Amino acid sequence: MNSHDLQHLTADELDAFLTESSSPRVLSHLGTCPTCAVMVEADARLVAALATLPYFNPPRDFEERVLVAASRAASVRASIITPRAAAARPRALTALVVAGASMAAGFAWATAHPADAIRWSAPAFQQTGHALWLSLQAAATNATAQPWFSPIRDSVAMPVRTLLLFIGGAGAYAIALTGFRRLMAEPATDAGW
Amino acid sequence: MTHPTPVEWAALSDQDVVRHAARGREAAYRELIRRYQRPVFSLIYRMVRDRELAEDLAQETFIKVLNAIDSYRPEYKFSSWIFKIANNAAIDQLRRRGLDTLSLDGSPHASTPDAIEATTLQIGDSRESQLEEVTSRELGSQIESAIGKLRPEYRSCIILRHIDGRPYEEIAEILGLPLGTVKTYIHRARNELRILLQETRE
Repeated sequence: MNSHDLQHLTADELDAFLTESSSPRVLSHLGTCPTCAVMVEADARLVAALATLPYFNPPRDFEERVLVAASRAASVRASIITPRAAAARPRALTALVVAGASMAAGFAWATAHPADAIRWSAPAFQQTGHALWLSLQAAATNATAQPWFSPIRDSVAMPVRTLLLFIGGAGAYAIALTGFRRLMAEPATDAGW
Repeated sequence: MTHPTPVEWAALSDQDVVRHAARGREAAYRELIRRYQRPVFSLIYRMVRDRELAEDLAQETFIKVLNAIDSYRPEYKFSSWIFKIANNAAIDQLRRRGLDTLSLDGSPHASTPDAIEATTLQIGDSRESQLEEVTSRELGSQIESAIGKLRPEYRSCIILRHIDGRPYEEIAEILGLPLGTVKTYIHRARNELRILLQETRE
């Protein structure tokens, strides 16, 4: 018997014995240590007795009760209107009616007075278009003057680099999207994952 | 996708059934309830020791699971998820009502004979002979009574490990505890149970 054999079995070794996966050291120790042998035997009896305890049966109508309660909870949840939403409803409805009525009146007037409508709206459309075109030109000029524009233009000029950039960008987008979806898909709070 | 027959439902894994349930199939809900109603109810009943309360908590557990089925992550075992919710419900209830340890003779909140009868832990189902039934029932009662005297954490551990036969890793996941802590709890719980049973016999 060596010094290792003199130490009593650890909790892990006891468990291993109970699950019939013990090492030769455990078996040899049990042959020489009455304290551990008694403990293991008592533990084995207890574990065997615990394993015979039956499951309890819920009431016969448990399945139906759960389904009814679950569907009721789901429908209640779906029909819940928060006080904030309830307060916002009349305002949203009023705004919708006013906007709809204004548009309808505008169309009706334009139909009745087409010449006036064209005369009044043409300069406005022209000015708006011109302003948009100027804005676009300014934005393009501004972008090409930036220090980061040249490297991007050079890299896009080569198809391989463009492809690599596209793959890299798509990969980053996919990773970000997956991460976001996982964040949004947290399980029930009770689960505590 | 075709609708599985009852036999096919039984052959599907939990993950597959959950996938059907997430699409709103009632038959999949029923299958999940059929699979887990007894283990979940038994865990909760052994934890709270009150049949009516256990029925309510088990129902609450299933409602939470079914309503949150979309958020179930298949990389985890479904059993771990549902047992975690059930165990949390039982522990919360024990904390709220201070039902740390209870006798086998019904809930202390039961004031009438009917209520005591309704909340008494019913042990033993069908057995081969009367003598065997009496012996088994007696031992079962002693063990159930001893389990009821354990701390709630030890109780969860011993039920999940030695009555349900769950692996240590899954128990750690269910209880949200480190594996080493779970092993220690189970070891200590067994020691306490041995002592309690010894005291009962003496």
